[in-house]
Amino acid sequence: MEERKIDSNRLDVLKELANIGVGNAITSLSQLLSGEKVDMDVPAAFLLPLQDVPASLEGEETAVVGVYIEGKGDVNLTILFVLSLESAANLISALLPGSAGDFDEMGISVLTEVGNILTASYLNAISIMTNLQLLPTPPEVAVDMAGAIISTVLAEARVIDDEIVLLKTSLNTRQTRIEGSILILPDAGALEKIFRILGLT
Amino acid sequence: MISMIVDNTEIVKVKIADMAVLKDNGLIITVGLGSCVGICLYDEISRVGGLAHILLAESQQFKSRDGAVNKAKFADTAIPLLLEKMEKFGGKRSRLRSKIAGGSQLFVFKKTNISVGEKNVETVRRTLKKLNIPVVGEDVGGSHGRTMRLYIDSGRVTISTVGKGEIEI
Amino acid sequence: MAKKVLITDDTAFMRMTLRNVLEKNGYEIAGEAEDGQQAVDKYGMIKPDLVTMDITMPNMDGITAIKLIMKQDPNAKIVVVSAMGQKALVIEALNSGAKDFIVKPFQPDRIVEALQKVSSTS
Repeated sequence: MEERKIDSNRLDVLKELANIGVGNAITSLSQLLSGEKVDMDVPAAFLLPLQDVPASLEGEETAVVGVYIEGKGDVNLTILFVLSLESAANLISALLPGSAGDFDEMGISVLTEVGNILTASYLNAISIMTNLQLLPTPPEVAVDMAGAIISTVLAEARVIDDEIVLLKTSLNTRQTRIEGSILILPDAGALEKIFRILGLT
Repeated sequence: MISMIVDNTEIVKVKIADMAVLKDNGLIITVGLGSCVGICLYDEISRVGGLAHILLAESQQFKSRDGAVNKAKFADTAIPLLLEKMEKFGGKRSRLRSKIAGGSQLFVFKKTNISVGEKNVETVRRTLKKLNIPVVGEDVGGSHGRTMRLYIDSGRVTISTVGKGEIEI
Repeated sequence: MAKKVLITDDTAFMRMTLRNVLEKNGYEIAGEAEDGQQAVDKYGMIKPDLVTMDITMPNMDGITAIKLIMKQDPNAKIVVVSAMGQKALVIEALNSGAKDFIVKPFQPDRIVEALQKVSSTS
């Protein structure tokens, strides 16, 4: 195998893809929250050893909510939307008037639908930029320790190369007090394809 | 893995697709076992203990492009490698006992016949059996993540989960 | 008489949201389906005037369900309500027989407007 080289130029392109994709996703979240402003950090792109991926979330043993979706089609991406328990409860009660934000069936379905809308907006943007077709799988929700969620996602999605490209963006809202991160893990093959389309090989 | 000394005790943290072996004293810990499985091997006579954190069951399907395999990722290759390392520390195969944890199904809506976690547990058991290492303690399956600790002085293994405290297996 | 609507979406939250919007605007919710297969089955049983259809669902996706419903009833009136707004997918849905395509998240007015427009055509 040729050593997988991702130079700063390519990381920049990934960041820009993440930026536009997540920007789109955040616009959708804002619409869901009746127009409340959603702030986002500039996406970061990392090339990490597989073993260090779980540590990319602060507090591997901290309980969090993870919404996991695979984008499949011309290329494959794995997307994980991570929220603190408090933020997830705030999100549920913001969208379900009168709810205490419990993780019951309806609460989980709110998180599922938000994950679905965020991911789809992201994939729609990627699709427009790259002309690739990408469809999300129905989202899956887990409430557990961050490390367990992310390692399970790696195993389920078979993202197990020795080095992993990880795109991470954090978002937050002031009024509804929601803080979360969106992690995107493209398959190795996905990157090659995207780079080729964007004329970067 | 990351190693540090806290109160004169060596604490080694095993990451995913990773393993560690200690002798006489210390603590090996691995955090966040979801569908992954943690395998502890212990020889109580030589007081050699090891812990591996595997991601997936079988290495064969996942050869990387140059044909090399990171053995610590897979149950069927990680356990023999852990055994090898333990023998170097003076562990004896015939005296080894194992304790296993993890293999849960975290995502509730997954509609597959057999989950990654179940497959992992099954392969871990099969591999241990092939090596004649008995499983003397376990906490597997379910739908929650686990943290596993192996105390080298005694061979004690504890499992902690979110909101449910700690148990010994 | 109130128009009967079959709502198709895999998340309970979105079904509830659609139900609230539509009931408030004088529609009768004749049934809810959680995936494409249920939508096809329920369409045959309750013969709704209108169907809302999600795309990304387990078991059977919305595009397949649209095709099967149109086969059952070429006059079926289906409006897609999906987060997926990719052009090729919109075209595929419309070619399969959907009458309109609404991208989530949506404004309630947009749904009502679409259903009114679709149900006024025969």
